Amino acid sequence: MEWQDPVMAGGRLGRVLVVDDVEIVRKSIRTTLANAGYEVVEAENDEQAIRVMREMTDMLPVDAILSDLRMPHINGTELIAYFRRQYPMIPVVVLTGYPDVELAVSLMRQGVMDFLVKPVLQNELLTVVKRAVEQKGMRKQQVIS
Amino acid sequence: MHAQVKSNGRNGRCTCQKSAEEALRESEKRFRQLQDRLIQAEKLASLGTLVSGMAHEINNPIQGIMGMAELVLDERDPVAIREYTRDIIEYSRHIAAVVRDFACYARSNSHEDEVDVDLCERLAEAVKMVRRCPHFGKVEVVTQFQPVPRLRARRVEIDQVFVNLLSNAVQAMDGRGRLELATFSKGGTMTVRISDTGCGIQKALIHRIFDPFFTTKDPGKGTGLGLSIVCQIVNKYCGTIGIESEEGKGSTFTVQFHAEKRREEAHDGVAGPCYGRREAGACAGGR
Ligand SMILES: Nc1ncnc2c1ncn2[C@@H]1O[C@H](COP(=O)(O)OP(=O)(O)OP(=O)(O)O)[C@@H](O)[C@H]1O
Ligand SMILES: [Mg+2]
Repeated sequence: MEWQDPVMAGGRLGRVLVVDDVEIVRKSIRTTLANAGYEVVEAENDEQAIRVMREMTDMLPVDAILSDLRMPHINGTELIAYFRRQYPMIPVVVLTGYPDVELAVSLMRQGVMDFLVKPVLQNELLTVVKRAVEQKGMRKQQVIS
Repeated sequence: MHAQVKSNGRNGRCTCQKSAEEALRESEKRFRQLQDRLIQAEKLASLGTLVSGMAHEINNPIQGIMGMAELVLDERDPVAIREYTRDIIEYSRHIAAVVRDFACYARSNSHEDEVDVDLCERLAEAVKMVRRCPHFGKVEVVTQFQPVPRLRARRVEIDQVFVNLLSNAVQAMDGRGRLELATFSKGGTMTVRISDTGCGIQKALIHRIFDPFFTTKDPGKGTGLGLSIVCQIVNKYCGTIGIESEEGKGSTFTVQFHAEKRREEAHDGVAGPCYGRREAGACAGGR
């Protein structure tokens, strides 16, 4: 693959919010997405994610959200619910370390587009992000309530 | 062996006394083996929750390591390659450390000798373990450790006491609150205090929480063995445990060990543990 300067690539394919509390995960995803031509906005926790989104004044601040789940058994899905409520048009992809089928089902019901269990390969990730960005704005009607 | 040392100068005792002593020793030995097995069984039963924490703690760095390795494959700039490689090494070390901690914790107690255990160090290690649980959430940890004398004990058992108490505290807080840990010592008494701002315990239930299988958690979430094993281990090392709790406000568990008492027991020839002795105040409910 041809190497592209992340700054040069400048998000011609779209802007993605990456939420993950582990620095190396953010770094590898940021570099992968930037190399592929996306602009990446990062947050390491819920509050930061909410703040980053609010600070961007556009109606649709990003084209897709790729979010980790920190505490799936209690209120780890709060952030996801927040995204779905506040930005129903922005596709959300969950990328988590917990292989939990029940959780995956319940999140898909909330309208989450995809549920990926770490570790995933660059190609898988890029495919899912591409699909998410393409689907932006078409998601609202697909929420199963 | 201990009995022989003790019986110096009392050689004239009769055979029936001897065989009674032997029977006592034999039953003590069996009790000790049974207790070891029980302690280990509880630990393995509770490992489930910790293991789901492990999934998070391992899959995350693996995601990063795999991602960086794939980037290295596509990268031509030697400076970037070196940087990514260093990340890979660093996070691989992290995984190795997590696996080591878990393996250490799960190790069988019966093969372990008693050593001089640093309670502050073990409490800090237990916090590390519990932090990895998925439900740890945003709990804030405040520590106030003063150095305390070392306690002669099996390290894994002390770890089990702390991990169980901390797990309960964290579960009671449901991802939010303040966990306060303190250690101090005074006149040969070592105190470890674990306070949470969780749901607290109903007055009517407080005297039951040390009973085996008593649990208020949903089926599959808790076996109700945690505190009964904590109690067994603390008793074994001649310690005491006290509770203060207020419903809706939080709970404080205070574990105390007595350096002197431990030494006396060892000199008595009973090789350490105070078998099943439940002294006043041991495992007592509070307020
Ligand atoms: N820090 C605490 N705050 C509130 N309640 C507590 C606390 N510690 C223990 N309890 C109560 O005591 C009960 C018994 O605790 P114990 O550790 O023995 O079992 P458990 O936590 O329910 O299950 P397990 O330890 O097997 O996961 C708990 O179910 C809970 O009701
Ligand atoms: Mg418990």
